[in-house]
Amino acid sequence: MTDGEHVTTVLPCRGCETGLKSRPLDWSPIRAPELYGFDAGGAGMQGIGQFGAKTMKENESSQLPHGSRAYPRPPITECVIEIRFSQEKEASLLERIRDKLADQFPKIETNIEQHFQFNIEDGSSSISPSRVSGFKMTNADGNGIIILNKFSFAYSRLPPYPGWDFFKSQFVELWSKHKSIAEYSRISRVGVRYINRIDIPVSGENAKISARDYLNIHIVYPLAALTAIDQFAIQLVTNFDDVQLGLVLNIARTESPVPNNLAIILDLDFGRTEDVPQKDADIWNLLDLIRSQKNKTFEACITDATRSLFS
Amino acid sequence: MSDIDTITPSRKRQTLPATLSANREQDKFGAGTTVLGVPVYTPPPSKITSTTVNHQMQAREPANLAEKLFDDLITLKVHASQVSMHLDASWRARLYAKLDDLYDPGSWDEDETTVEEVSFRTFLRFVLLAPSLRVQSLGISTRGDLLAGWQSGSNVITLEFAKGDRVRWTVAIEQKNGREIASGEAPINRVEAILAAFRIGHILQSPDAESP
Repeated sequence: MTDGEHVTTVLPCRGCETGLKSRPLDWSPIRAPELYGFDAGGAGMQGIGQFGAKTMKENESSQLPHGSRAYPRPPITECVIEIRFSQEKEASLLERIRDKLADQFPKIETNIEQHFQFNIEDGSSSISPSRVSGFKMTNADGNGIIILNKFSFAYSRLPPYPGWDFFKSQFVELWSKHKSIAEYSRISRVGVRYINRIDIPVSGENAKISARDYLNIHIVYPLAALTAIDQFAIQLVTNFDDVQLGLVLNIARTESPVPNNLAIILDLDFGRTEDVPQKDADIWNLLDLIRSQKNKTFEACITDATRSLFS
Repeated sequence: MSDIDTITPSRKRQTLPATLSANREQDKFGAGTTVLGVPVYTPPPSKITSTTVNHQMQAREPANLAEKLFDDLITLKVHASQVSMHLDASWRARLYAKLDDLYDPGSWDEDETTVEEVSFRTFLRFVLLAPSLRVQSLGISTRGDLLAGWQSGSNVITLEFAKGDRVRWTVAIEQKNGREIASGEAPINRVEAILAAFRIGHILQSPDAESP
């Protein structure tokens, strides 16, 4: 099995035969763990056992006052708080807000917009000049992202989930900075979205699972005709009239990045578009209300078998 | 016109997540729109003259090497975040610290290559699959593949993580009859078993190294 080429590659040195340079292995001891700011807070969520004031042992979950649970390894792959406006922001204003937040979110991508117009009757077409319509800004740890658009301001948090209180406090801080630059614009929607990826261990390449074991929402189909489904997607759009909230719920099969796992997406997007609060304190209260409703819905959608996967 | 409103009716009501907005190229011409990788029904245009919007997310052009390294480093951390619920928090923190060291612009030349995303994905899948292995050191191969290495005396073990869940491995160990060098390539789910034949578990699981 000896292979000279591989030995050369595996023990890399600068200036190898390919012309490109490699990064040699650094044999020095690995640095002591650092405290990452965004991992430092939140009630009973991932990472707290290492860095936070509270501790939670593996395989232990706690009951929160509103009836939902805090899981040691929550399956949240993205959570978003978004505020949407009635009026369009000018690109120059977006750039000033971008500059205000650039220290915290230094990786900046620009959303370029271009309009194409076709007229099928006379065959004419026109293309508008491209222009800036927003920015995507990512923090240094790669787990906090701002989406700044003409009509919206959103903060997105990637795993590990730091817990609601910390996530919300981050948004409050960012919103304050946004407001210090942006002119008043009527808020047309407040939304909170949680995308969960439920990784389900399986054995074997052709392993199947029954979605009914993991979800309380599922497809009813004729078993005789369709013995198994490789992909599926369900979208429910509903309203909770008592709290004036709308919900778009997406459930879909997806690929898991974890080997030997299948994954199901459970995506909950709550929002209010009527009687939308305009004052900060009222917005925070609405966010808490949405969070509570989200937790109830999430718990109602999953089974104990699902809970055991991230408890 | 809102950049969101023109995509699909269902999207209009929804909070736009960052992971979806990162793939706005899919939204060109409003056709073939997907949500979470799943095709979504797009109604036919109701007017003869239709207006569509082309969105492109453009990363900033790095002004210098430090910016490029920083942007690439964040990309790797975003990948790691997607499986972080399966990783120990302290191990993840040490991995990030090691990546920070690896991408330190102070020790970097302009013509050196950074880690390919597909290679880093293979690395993450490997550590999830082989949690008993402890990574001692990280490097980058000339191909842009991430390297993981172990060293104990003159014994050296190196894994190179390639795209498609493939790993190129090399073992160089001292035996009674002299030094032996072996190498090969295998899928990630076979590597641990292959290396076990060399009886080097004490090196791969050294307490000086790191474990997910």
